[in-house]
Amino acid sequence: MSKLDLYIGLDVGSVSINLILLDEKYHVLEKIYLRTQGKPVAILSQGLEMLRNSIPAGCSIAGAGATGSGRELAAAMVGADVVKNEITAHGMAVLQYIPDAQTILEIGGQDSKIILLRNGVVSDFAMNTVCAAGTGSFLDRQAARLGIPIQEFGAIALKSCSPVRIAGRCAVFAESDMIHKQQMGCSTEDIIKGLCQALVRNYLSNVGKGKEILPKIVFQGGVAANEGIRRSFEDALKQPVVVPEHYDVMGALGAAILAHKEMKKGRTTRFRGFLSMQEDFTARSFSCNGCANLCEIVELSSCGNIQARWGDRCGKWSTAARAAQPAETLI
Amino acid sequence: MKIGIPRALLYSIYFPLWKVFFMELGHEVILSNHTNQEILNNGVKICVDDACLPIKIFHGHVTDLIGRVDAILIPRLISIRPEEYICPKFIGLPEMIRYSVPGSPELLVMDYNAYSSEEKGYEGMYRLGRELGSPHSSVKHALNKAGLRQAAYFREMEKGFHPMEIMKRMNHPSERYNTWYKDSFCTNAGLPSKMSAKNSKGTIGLIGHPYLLYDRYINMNICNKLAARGYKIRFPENSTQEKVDGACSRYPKKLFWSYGKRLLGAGLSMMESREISGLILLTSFGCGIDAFIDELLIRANHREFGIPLTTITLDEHTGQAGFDTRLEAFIDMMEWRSRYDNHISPHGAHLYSGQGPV
Repeated sequence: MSKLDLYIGLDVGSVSINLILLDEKYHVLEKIYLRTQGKPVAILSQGLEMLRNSIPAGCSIAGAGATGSGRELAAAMVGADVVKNEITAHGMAVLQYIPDAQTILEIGGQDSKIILLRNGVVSDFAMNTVCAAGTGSFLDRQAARLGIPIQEFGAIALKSCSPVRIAGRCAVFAESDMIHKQQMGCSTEDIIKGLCQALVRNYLSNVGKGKEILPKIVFQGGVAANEGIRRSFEDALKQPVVVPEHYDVMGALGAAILAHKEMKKGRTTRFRGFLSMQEDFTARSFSCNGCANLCEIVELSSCGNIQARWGDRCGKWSTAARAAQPAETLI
Repeated sequence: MKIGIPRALLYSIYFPLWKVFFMELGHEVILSNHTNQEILNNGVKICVDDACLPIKIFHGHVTDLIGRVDAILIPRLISIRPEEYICPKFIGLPEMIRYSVPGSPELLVMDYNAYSSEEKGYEGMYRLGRELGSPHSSVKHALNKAGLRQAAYFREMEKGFHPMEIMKRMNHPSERYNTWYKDSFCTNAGLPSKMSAKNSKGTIGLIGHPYLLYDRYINMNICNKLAARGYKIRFPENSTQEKVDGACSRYPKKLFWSYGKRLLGAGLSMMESREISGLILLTSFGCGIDAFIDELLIRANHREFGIPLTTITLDEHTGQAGFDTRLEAFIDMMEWRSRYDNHISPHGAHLYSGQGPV
C-alpha cells in the first residue's frame, strides 16, 4: 500500500472545535465536532487524540491549517502551516464541494456571515457588525432557557402551525419578547418557530442587506443543523437552501484544503505532529502594564516553555515570544 | 496660561490652527495622551450612554487633561464651510462636557461658524483671544499666522500624506514651530512605517471620519495592518475640495454635512479614478451620517464600479480578533478577485459588467 499524505484542518470557534482529516483528493477521512465549553486548549488536545487514532496505517500528516476565532491558539499548539480567516476558509470549502454555489449563508457560534461566490472566487462578503444577536450562542441560550436540547430545537419548530412574531433585532429584545409570548400562553413550538423566523429576518436585513442572493444557496455552520432555521430561510428567500454534508465543519475543511494548496508549493510541514498533545499545554492571560492600554496578553506554554503570546497592540510580547521559540521542529 | 487640547474628534484636522493661534498669543498648549484603554474607559464611564464612541472618547481625553492644565479648549464646530453644517454633536459638545465631566478646570469654548462665510468663521476665535486678554492687534496677527499654517497643512494633506505624518514632519528642528508637537509625538504616532510606492501591491481607499482614521487605538491600528500586507492607503483628506464637490455633483440634492460630503466625494472620486483596488468604510457604531453616506457609496459601487468594498464597524471592543478577521478576509477577497481578473482580462474594463454586485 502506498504511503498517503493527509491534511488536517482545525476550526477553533467560540462554540465548537472542529477537526478534519483529509486526503489529497479531498475525501473526508475523519471529522470531529466538539463543544469548546470555554476550554479550547483542553478540548483541542482531546480532539487531536481522537484524530490520531483514526489515521490509517502508513499515512502521515503533510500539512495543517487553522481557522476560526481561536486560530492563533490552534496554530501555535499544533504548528499549523496555514492560518486563515473563516471567510476564506468557508469560501474555499464550498467552491471545492459545491462548485456551482453562488451564495453561502453561514451562522456560527458568534459570527454570522454571507459570502457571495461568483466565477469561482469569493466576490463579496459581509459579517454581523458589533452584535452577535441571532447566532448559535444565542440559540443555545434560548434552548437552555426553554429546557430543550439544542438538537431538538429545529424539529420542534417544524411542528408549529401558527408561529408568533418575535422581535429579532437584538438578542435581549428577542428574549423579553419570547418571555412575554410564553406568559400570554403561546405554545413552545410556535415561539420557537417565531424565533427561527426572527433570526432569519434579522440575518437577511442585517448581514444580507443589499446582497444579491443567487442560487445555489448553501447554508452551513453549526446552526445549519437546525431544520427550523433552514426552512425559514427557504420561506423567506422562496428558493431551495442546501445544507452540505459536512455543514458543521466547513471551516475546518477549508483550512485543510488551504493547507494542501500551500504545501503543494513544495514546503515542508511545520505540524508538530501529535507530540503537541502530550506536552502539557497551558494558556494563561495577564495584563501588560507597559502603558495605559493595559492589553490582555495570552500566553501559551508547554512544559514551561513559552510557545506563543498574542493580544498586545504594540507587538512587544508577541515578538518576544516568537524570538524565544526554538528553531522549527520538523517531523 | 497652559491650555489643554483633547486629542480627539477633529483635533487631527484643526490642530495646527489651534496650536499656532494660542502659541502666538503666548500660551502653552498641552495635548492629552494618545487614546488608550484608560481614556476609553473614563470616557465610556462619564459620557451619556447613547453617544457615539468618538464623543465618549473625547470625554476621556478631557479627563486625561485634568490636573495638568489651567484650561481646556472645547471647540464648538458649528459649520466649517459656507452653507454646510457638521454633525450636531459638535455643537452640543461644550455643554456635554460641562455637565458630564466632574472636576474639570475652566473650559474655553471656541466657536467656529463659517456658515455665512469663511472669514466669519474666525470670529469665535477672535472673541476667545480677546477674552483671554490679548489686544485686538495681537489676536488679528495670531489668527493670520494660524490661518496660514492651517492652509499649508491642508495643502500637505492633499498631496497624499497621512495627517499624522505631516505633523511629525512639522516637528523637525528646522521648523519655526518646532515645539509644536513636543510631548505629543512619541514613537507611538501610529504611522505605517513603510509606505513606499515601489513595493506596494496597490492602494486601498479608507473612508471614515478623521477621528477614526487617524486614531490608531480606535481603529485597531488599521493603517499599519494594511501597510504590513503591502498596501498604500488613500484617505478622504487626500482629496481636494474641488474633487469632492465635483464627485458629489452627481446627486440632485445638496449634501449639507461637510464631513458626509467629504467622505462621499472622496470615496466616489477614488472609485471613478480606478486608483484603488479596494475600499474600506470604517464607521463607528450608531453614526447617523455614515448610515447615509456608506449606503450611497455601496449603491454607487454596486451600480457602476464593482470594486471590492467592505464596511467595518467600530465600537468599544478591545479584542482585535473580530476586526482582524474582517480585514484579513477583505484583503484575501481582493487578491483572490484580482487574480481572477488578471486571468481573464488584463484591463478588466468590462469585467463583471451587468452581473450586479460583485
